[in-house]
Amino acid sequence: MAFDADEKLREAFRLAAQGVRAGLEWIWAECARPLHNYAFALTGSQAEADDVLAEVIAALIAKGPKLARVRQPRAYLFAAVRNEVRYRARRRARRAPDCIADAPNASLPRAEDLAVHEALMALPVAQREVVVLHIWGGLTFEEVAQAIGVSPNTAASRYRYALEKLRRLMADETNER
Amino acid sequence: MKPMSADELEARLRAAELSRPGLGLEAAIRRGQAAQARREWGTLARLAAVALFVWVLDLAAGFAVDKSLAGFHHSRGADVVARAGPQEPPASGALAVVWQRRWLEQMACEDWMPLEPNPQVGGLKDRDPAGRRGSAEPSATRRTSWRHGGRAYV
Repeated sequence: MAFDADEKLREAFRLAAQGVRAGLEWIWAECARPLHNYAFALTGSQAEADDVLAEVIAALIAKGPKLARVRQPRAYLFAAVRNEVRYRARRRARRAPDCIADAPNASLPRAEDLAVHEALMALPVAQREVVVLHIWGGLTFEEVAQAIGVSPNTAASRYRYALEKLRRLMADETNER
Repeated sequence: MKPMSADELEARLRAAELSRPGLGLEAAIRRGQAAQARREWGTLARLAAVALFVWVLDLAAGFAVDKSLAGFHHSRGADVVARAGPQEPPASGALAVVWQRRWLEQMACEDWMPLEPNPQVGGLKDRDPAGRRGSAEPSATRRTSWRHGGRAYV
């Protein structure tokens, strides 16, 4: 099934490379949400995640025919989001070093998801992004590794540590309530 | 209380909604393209600022070198500078001034060149039939100096 989805995504990339609108629409329908989740996990802000997603889509259009050469489209898209987030963080740090940690959450999560949100945001970014890519992005550890530029073993061990920490954090949360 | 298993935890995470895009495809494209255009203009503006800075720096260095050239003019004789006349390159930047300096040095050297053949250094053998310096085969004593910017102090 994942194989089918990857094939379809590759086809969508080929169409988008030729300037066919349907390709872009398919990419958006399939990937907008997981990409947004990833951007949100990295920035902690819904509004900034929207901006990041918008710039990634515009960059895809600007790439044009080069898109047809992308071999791992899913990992490519997540890597694009990651690069954009890092670029924005660098730019913000240059302009106002004191404002790096701003990131107000514009839209609050559902009440039942609050514990998950809080626990997730308590993780270090390196572990958080692996969890988000694997759980919400549906990437294999191989693809996660490719997207964030580490080895698959590192990605898997970060995931394992993250789950342990999440379990502890969420258990504490439940006990407190 | 029994801790959650890894599978239960994963299932709970999957069921949670992390975030959802606040824009549709069209709006995202419009916003993204506007942001990219701003970014490109920003890059161009920065490049222009750097070019302006380099130009001003070059101009300032030109003035500085020009000041030091004044002494050179005096030491080499005003006639050389005057003879340069309209051919004298404008000293608007450091590069132009350096070029001008080399050119004036050359003029000064020509001015001092002995007109009579000097058998000790090869004399007029260095000149081609038209009388210009820089023949195809300069003499051994001159060869080295030809390689250093055409300065021919004999």
